[in-house]
Amino acid sequence: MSILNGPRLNFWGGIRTDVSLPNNSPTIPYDGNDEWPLFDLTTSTLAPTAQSYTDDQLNNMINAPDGDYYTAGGWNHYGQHVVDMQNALISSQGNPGSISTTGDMVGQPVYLLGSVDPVTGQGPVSGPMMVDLDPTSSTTTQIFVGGLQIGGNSDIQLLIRSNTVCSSFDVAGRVLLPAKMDAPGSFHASGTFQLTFPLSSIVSWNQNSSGLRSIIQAPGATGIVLRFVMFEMCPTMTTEQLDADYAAGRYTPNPSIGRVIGTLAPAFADEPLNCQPGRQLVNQSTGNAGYADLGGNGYLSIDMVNVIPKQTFRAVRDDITSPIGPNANYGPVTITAGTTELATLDPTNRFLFDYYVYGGIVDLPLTANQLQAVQTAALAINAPGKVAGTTLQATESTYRVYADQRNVYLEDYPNGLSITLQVRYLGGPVPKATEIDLQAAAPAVYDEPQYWDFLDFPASLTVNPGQLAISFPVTVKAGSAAQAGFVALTYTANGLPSSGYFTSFRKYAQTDFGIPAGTHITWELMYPNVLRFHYLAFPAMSRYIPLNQPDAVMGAKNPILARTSDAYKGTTLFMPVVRSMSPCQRALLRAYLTGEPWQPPQ
Amino acid sequence: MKTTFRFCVMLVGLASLPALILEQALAREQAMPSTQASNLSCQPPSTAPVATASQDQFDQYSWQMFIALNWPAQDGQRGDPDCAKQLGDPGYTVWQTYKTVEEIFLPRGANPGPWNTPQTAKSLGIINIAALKNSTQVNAVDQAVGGWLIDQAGNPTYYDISANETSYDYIVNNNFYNADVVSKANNINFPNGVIEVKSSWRILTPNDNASHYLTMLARVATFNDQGQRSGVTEAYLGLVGLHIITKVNGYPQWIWSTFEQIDNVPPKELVHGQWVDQPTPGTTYSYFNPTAPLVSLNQSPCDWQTQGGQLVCVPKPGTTFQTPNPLNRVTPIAEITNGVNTNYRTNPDVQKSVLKYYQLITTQRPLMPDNPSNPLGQPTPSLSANVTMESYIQPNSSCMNCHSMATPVKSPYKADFSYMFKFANAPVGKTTKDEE
Repeated sequence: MSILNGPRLNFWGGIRTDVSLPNNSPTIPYDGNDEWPLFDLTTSTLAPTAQSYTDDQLNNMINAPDGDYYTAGGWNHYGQHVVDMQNALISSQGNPGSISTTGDMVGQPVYLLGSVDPVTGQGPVSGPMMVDLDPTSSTTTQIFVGGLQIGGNSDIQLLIRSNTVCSSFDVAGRVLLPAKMDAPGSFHASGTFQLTFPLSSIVSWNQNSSGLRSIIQAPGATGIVLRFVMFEMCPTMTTEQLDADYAAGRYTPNPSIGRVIGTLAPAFADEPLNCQPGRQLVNQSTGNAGYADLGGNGYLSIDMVNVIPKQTFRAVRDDITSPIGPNANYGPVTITAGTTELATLDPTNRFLFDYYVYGGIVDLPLTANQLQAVQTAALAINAPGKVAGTTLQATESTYRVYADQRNVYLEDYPNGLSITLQVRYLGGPVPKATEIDLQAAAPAVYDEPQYWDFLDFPASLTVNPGQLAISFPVTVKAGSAAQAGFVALTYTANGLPSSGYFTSFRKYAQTDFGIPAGTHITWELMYPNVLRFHYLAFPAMSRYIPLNQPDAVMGAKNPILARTSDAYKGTTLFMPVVRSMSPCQRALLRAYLTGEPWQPPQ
Repeated sequence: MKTTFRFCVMLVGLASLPALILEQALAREQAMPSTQASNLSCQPPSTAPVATASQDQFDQYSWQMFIALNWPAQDGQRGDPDCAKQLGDPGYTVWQTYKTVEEIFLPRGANPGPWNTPQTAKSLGIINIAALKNSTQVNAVDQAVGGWLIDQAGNPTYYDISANETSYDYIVNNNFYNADVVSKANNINFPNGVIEVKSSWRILTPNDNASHYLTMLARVATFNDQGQRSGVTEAYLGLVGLHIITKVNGYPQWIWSTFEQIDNVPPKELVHGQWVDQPTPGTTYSYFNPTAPLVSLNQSPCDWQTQGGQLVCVPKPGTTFQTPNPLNRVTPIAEITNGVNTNYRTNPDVQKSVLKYYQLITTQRPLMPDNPSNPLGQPTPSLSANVTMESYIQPNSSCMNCHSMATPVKSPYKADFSYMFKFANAPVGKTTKDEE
């Protein structure tokens, strides 16, 4: 299925993500207090203790050197949230078992695009946007995308326009060493994303390209799927460089930069759009995952791009386009199904040594015996060696639960929503009745029940033998309108932690801000309740429209009203980019801009 | 130099000059015999550095543009240099013969006619620096009445916006001087070779050394102590800031250069790890007050109030329209840019002109102008601010980011980084003009 079984275009290169950091924590270190309350991130407002300070004072506090590691507000206060790939070039193409480094698409650049304006049809004027549904947790993030392009602007090979959003999976260990460096701990990690574009979203393509034709015209194809992983990420500037930059008033964005490896393939019906299908194998040392599937072509295809970690972070911090190099060498890598050996790959095998050229995907031809073993026994990947105290033991999650729904804004579902879980046993339907347990919990620091206990959902589900999927309703508890926060709903099959999957939810509060209905909204009523948080947390927005200047905000009334409206919601142009403004805040802003009497949304 | 002067009414046409300006020009000629400029070009650069070029190469491009645009203009031919003249020779500079927004966007959306119409007397009414750049008004819905900037002498700063012939022809050929037409245009795309200029001016007083400024006599609006227009007067103005934006092949996001007169605010120096203002002893800065408390620097004077459905700047309590707005520079000029400034300002031919009293603040351009994933192109450096024009938003000032939001009046469509079309008028119906 999809990248595992279909024709592929593989690419690799550099990637940058320019996320603004201060909203990752409600507190900053200040005045001898490591946790000085700055923000209420559930309501996107300032903490009461911060409200009496001026904007300039708070800004300076956020930008103050930490003394040890970047600044009080993190390593990037001026991020614009754009995600862009740098020199990501197609490196191989073909069908499973015959992937080649030559072909008509090899060498072409791959780009993710921002959205065309849904109202004017112009653009894109921005790029894809990385947005945390829950900025306080580090388990998953999102990228809003408006399309894809292969080829430069003067030689477009494939152009897709489609608004969609992907979420990261398997945020787990990917780079072993060093233990520490001048970067957030996530330098060890990778995040894997999947997007699916319907065939109808293709604007143009080079019809002379056999590589493209094999994907677009694959029998049964309903779209194009893209899987990509970003890893070996670190902020561009070091602590010293950033502190000097801020001291000099340059306030340069400090995006995280690193590597990307990706694969494009046909998407087929009944496949998840944003979540990798297949049998999951988890590296027991790093927690990272691979995915395997039996194609009808006699191959077992395994997406191993993250199974084996890289031993050491790249030598040159800002060099993200040189060859990535092989992953850690644990010795010969043996892939088994139960007790049956499927293959042993020498570390010099090109699918290991140059794995990134091939999208990290390995296609193993199987004998009839091996095929039988794969269909009935758990897969495993092992190697004899040790690297940096870790071993290579990837074992199959025999039961696997997964879903497209990874990050959900509850405001988009005022009447609740239905979550559909895919449930598999060794990649197929469950052989016997299987219980799925559901648990809600705080994903991060907002762990008081008021901040996460607002969902109604069944405590458990039963999946019948032969059943592939099960759906269930999620609604908001009665009486929880005033609550705001974040919750992770976790699903586990038969009590097996290895089967687990989660969906993150964000809920905004219903509030009138203490302002009586019918009030004429002034700047003094609006700014502290709506824009002030965004001015301080995301100053890059103010480079477009200075959010603390009444004349600028009013002068930009029309674009602000447009881009905070529902018409822009699924696009990269929605404001604010970080989707941290509640419906009630948007209503208050609208009342200010239009002069209409205040009517709190119900 | 003695700076007593008298006001004269500016004569229509290019040839007449106020007596004082001519007097000063002659004095310069007598003091420094003219020699042929050998290493400065009267023509603007036709190409820009490659995108990966260093800051200093772009800064040199800016200076070459600045010099060419400040070359003495050809008599009777607007927008063209007189290459037989020397830099600093008397008369309007090339950019001063560009057409202003008042000349391009006529009342009722009338066709402004051919390019080379006789130049009229200078009349400056724009005092708002507008956080939303250039957008002084025309129609109420898009109106953004910005705050003003009062210099240390208690006088307002005046602004003017103009464009070169290539820009003018594009606007006229597409009928974009007509608000009804341009508000529906979804394909605005200026051609390469377009240059737009925004200038800022202060009133020169007997305490100022006028020989340190590009000067101009003009009719200016006057204001009462609440900032409401009260009349007009003649004023002797000195140029304090100049934005130059150029649409160049390979840069769909344009290239953004900005210059200031050197006595606006003091330079900053790195002292014990902190960048601090370092006033030059004996220098009176036009916008800097060494005794002003830090918290009072770079603060908008406005207490915004809604009057008649519009936001109006009312002086904050305890202040009036005449209260000076003290400024300093938030982002020090980069060392590399200072190096280019020194090279050009000490050039023997520049030394003969008033341009030696001007400095480049920075050149902002897209580092990756052709990146499909980031159409804005990554503005580099990320900030650019002219203290006279982005006075109160310096920490967040990015030419490219802000101008990427530009649309015509009452239009959702992009205007290719130009706010010029905010000045377009419609042929019929009531238009709200800026009362300034």
